[in-house]
Amino acid sequence: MSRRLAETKTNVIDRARRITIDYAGKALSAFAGDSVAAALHAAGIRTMSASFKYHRPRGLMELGVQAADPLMAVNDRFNVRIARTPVAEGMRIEPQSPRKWDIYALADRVPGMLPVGFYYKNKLLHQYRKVWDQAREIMRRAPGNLGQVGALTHTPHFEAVHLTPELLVVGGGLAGMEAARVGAEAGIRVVLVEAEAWLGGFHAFQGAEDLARIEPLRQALAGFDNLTLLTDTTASIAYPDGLFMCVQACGNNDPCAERTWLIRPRAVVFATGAMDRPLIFGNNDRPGVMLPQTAQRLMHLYALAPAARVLLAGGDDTLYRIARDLTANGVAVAGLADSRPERAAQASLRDALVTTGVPVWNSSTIITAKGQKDVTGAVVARIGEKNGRELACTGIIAASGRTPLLKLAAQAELPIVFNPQYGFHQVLPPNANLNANPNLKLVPHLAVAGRVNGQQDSEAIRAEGRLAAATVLSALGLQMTEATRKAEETLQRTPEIVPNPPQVRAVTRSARRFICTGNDVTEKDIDQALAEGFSHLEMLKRYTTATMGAEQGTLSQANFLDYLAFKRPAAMGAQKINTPRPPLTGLSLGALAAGHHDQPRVTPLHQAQCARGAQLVRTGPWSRVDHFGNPEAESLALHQSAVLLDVSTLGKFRIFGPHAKDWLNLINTRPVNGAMGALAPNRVRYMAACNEEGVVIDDGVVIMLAQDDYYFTTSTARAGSVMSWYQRFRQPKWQAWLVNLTEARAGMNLAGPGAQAILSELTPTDVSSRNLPFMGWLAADVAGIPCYILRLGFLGERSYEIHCPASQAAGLYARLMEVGRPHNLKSAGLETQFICRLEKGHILPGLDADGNTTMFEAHFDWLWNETGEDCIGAPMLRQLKDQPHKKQIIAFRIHGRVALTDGNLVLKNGKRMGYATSVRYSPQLNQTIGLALVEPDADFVAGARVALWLNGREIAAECINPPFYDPEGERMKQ
Amino acid sequence: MGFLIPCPNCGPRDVYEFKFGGECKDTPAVNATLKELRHYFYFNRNVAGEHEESWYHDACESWLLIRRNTLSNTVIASRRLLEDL
Repeated sequence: MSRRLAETKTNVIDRARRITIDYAGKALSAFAGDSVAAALHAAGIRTMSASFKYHRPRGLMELGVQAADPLMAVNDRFNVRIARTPVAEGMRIEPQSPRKWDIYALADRVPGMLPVGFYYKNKLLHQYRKVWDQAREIMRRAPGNLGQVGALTHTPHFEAVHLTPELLVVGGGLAGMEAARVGAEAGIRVVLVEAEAWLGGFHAFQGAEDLARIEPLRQALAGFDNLTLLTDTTASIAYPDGLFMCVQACGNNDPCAERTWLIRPRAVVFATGAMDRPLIFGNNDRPGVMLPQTAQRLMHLYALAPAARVLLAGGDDTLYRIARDLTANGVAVAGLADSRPERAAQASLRDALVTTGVPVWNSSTIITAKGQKDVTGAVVARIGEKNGRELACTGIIAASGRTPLLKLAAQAELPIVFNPQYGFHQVLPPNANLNANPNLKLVPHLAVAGRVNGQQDSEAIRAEGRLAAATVLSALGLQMTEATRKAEETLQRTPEIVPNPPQVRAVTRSARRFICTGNDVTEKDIDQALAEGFSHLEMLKRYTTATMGAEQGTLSQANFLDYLAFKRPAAMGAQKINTPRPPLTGLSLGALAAGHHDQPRVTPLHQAQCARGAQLVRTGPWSRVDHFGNPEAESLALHQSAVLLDVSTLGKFRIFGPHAKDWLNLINTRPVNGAMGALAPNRVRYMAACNEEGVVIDDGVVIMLAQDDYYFTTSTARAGSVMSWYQRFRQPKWQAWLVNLTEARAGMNLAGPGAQAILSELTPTDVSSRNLPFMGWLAADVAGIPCYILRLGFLGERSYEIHCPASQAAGLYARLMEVGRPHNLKSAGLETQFICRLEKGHILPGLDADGNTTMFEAHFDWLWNETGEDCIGAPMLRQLKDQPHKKQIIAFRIHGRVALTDGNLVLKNGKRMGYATSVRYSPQLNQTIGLALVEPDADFVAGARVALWLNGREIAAECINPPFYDPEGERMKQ
Repeated sequence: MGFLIPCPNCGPRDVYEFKFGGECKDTPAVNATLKELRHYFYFNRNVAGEHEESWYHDACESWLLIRRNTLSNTVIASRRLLEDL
C-alpha cells in the first residue's frame, strides 16, 4: 500500500470521496478521480500484465494520452486501457494475463527459442498440415497481454454527433488553449478537443508554478459561446479529406458509454504535445521502469510516489526537476545518471539537487536493470564502459529526450521529416523549401504548435499556439496580420529549441534491450532481421513486428527508426516514418458504429399483422411477415378458401407526361405501345427490365390510369433503385415525371377460390371475371376506400391485388379479414407466397436467375421484341439472341417430403452441374418441388431423372416442364 | 477514403451520400458489335489524374457529372446530368 503524498493544487483526486473497486476478487480502496492504473499503483500492485511474446512481467511504463498497455478486463469489457480509465464505485477489474504458473514464460528463459520470424523458419511447422493447424492455435492463444472475447453483461450505448466548426484545435495544453482563444476571439466557431478531463496538458502535472500559467487561460476559454470544449475526447482518426473522428469517454453518469464526434473543420491546429522517448538499457521493460511524465503524473495528479527509492537516467533537465520534486515529497533518490557531459544541465537545477545530497553522474547511463519481477537495482556506468557500479533502487525513471506526438498530423498527410539538428521528427514548417522533397506538399489550413514542434519553454509554446491559429485563419481569409506579427516577435525572444540527447548504445548485451515493448522486439531481433537481408523499413517492421503491438508505435517508433538509422545510416539515416494508419489508439467497435442504427422498414400493415401473430423475417431493409405460424397450412388455404397477403413492399410508381411512354419503353423490354400492341386502358401488362448486359434485373406490371399517365410496380428488391435507374437514362427535353409512391400506397393480395365472394361483400363494383377478367384492372371503392384492383396470376389461384392509400390500409385489411371469416380467409406471409409461386414455376430474378443469367436463359425473352423500339440492353440482347446458352433453369420434383433446401447441388454422373435455387415442399401437390440453375445439358428434359446431392448421398428427382400446379392456368384465369 | 462532392442542389456533401455511376463513356450504338459492347461494359480508362464520372445523389435524386482528380480526390467541377431540368 503506497501512502498518498501531501495534497497539492495539481491533484485531480477527491480525497473526500472514497471508492471501492474489485481487482481480481479483492476489494481495493481508491479516490474519485483516480485512474484504474493509479488506483492499482496506490494499492502496491507493480506487475500488471505479461508481455506479448515472452510473457515478461510488465508494469506502468506510460500513463499519457496514447498509453495502450497495460490492458485489463473492466466490467467484462476486455482490452480496456487502464491508464486511461477512471475508477467508479463497484468497478470489476480482472488482469488479462496468466497469474500463476505460465508455461509461455519459458520463452523468456530459453535463449533463441522465439527468434524473429520463427514461424517462417521452423520447417516442422510447415511440413505437416496437422502440426501447423495445432501450432497456429497455440500461437493464437499465446499473446500474454490480450484478453478473451466474452459476452457483455449489458449493452453499452453509443452515439455520434456531427460538427462543422471553422477551427478545430487538437490538444488542450498551453498551445492549444492559446490557439482556441485566438479563434474564439475572431468570432468563428471553434472546437477544442482534449483527451484528459481537464485543460492544461503537460503543464497540468508539473507543479503549482506551471498550474498558475494555465488558470487564467482556463477561465478565459470558459467565456466564449462560439467555443465547444470537448474534454475526455481523443482525436483518433484524421481522414485525409478533413474529417476528424474524436471519441469521448462519457464517464459514469452518462447513459452513453462513448460519444463519437465527427468533426469537419475548415482549419486545424495540432497541439498534440510530446511524450518521452524511452531510454534503451538491459531489462528496460521491468515493472518499476517508467517514463518521466508517468512519474510526474503519479506525483502531481494522483499524489503517489513512483517508487520507494528512485534512480533517474537520461539526458535532459526535466529529470533534475523530477528529482527535486521527489526529494521535496520525501521520496528517496538513489541518484541521477545524465548522459550529457558536465555543465550541460542548467546549473541552478544541478546545484539544487547536489545540495540535497543526490549524487549526479555525468556522461553516464544505466547499463541494465536488476531484479526479476520488480526492479531491485540497476548498474550505472560511464558511457562506453562495460562495468559500472550496482545501486539499489525500486524504481527507474528514464528517458532519452522526447518524442513529438505526430501520428494525427501524419494521418492528415502533413509532411513529416526527421530533423537531425534536434534529433526528433517535425512537421515541415510552412516556409520550408520543398525542392529537396518534391513529394511533400504543404497544407495551408493545417498547422502544428507547442511541444509537438519541440518547444519546451512555456512562452514559446503559447506564442506558437497563437501563431498557428493566426496562420491557418489567414489561410481561410481572415485578417490576422497583427496577431501573426506579435506572435512572431515573441518567438524571436524565446530560447532556442533544446535538441534530444542521442540514444545510448549498447557496449555489451547481457540482458534484453527492448526497442518495442508492445510486441517484445529487442535490438538483437532487429540486428538479426538486418543480417537476414531485410533492408526496407516497412518490411523490417512487418518481419520483426516492431511498433505493431497495442501501442502501435507510440512508444517504440522513434527508437525503432533511430536504431535502424544507427545500423544503416546510408539507407535509413533520413528516418522516414512508417505509413501512418488510423486509429491513433484502440477503438471500440461501438464508437465506429455509432450513429449507424439498424432501422428496418415496415409496411403500413405491420402492426395489424403483428397483432394477428405474424412471424417476422428480415429481407434487405424490410422486416416482413414470414408466416402466421404454419406457412404450409396457409398455402393450402390459398388453394381451398382464400388468403390475404401483404404486398406493400413492391415498388409503386406513377409516371406521367407526354414522354412517359417513351421513358417506360426505354427502361422495360416490353413496350406499352408499338410493336407488341398498345396497352388497353383496362388491361394489366406484365413487363421486365434488363440491364445493359442483357440480364433481367426486374419484373412487374404496368397499368394506364389515363392518357400519358401510368402506374407501375417493381419487385421489392428493386424498389429502392428505380428512381436512380430511370433518372440515369432520362433523355434531355423529355416532358415526363416519375413519382415514387412506394411509401404512399399499400398493396394486398386477396387470393384463392373464395376471393371474389369476399371482395364482393365490400365493393359495389362487379369484380367477377365478366367485368374484371384475368390481367384486367379497375378502380373501385372497397369498404369506402378508393383502390386499384388488379387481377394477377402470380400465385396460381384467382387473385386480386388491391392497391390503396397507405394511411387507409390497416382499416381495409381489418374489414377484409372480418368479412372473410365465414369464407375461411386466412392471413399469410412471404413463405406462403414463395411456395405458391414455386408451384407455378415463376422465376424470381436475382434468386432463380443470377447476375450472369441472360434474358434468354431465364425464359423472359417473350417479353422482348427485336423489331420493337430499343430499350436498355437491346444491343446486347440482339447479340445474345443467337448465342448458345451457358445456363439453363430446370424444374424438378420428388414425391413426398425431402429435406432438400436452396443451394443443394445438382449432379450428373458425379459431376457438379449447378445448384437448386428454390426448393419447397408443396402440401397441395404432396411433392418436393424446386428450380435449379445448371449448365445446359441435353439430358435435362421433361421426364428425365436428375440427381441432387443431399447429406453425402445422391437423391433422384424428375425433371418437368413447369408449372408444377395447374399447367394451363385455368384456376387463376377462371 | 473520403471526400466532399459539391452537389449543385444540396451544397458540399460527404461522398458516402452518393452512389458511384462509373466513368463517363459513350453509349454504344444500337447495332454495336459484341467487341464494342464488351469494351463498353468491362473496360475503363482508369485515368490517374482528372477525368469525368457520374454520381447519383440519393438525397436529391439527381445524377451529377463530376470532374475529379483521382490522385487527390479533389472535385474540380460538378453539374447536373440534365442541366435543362
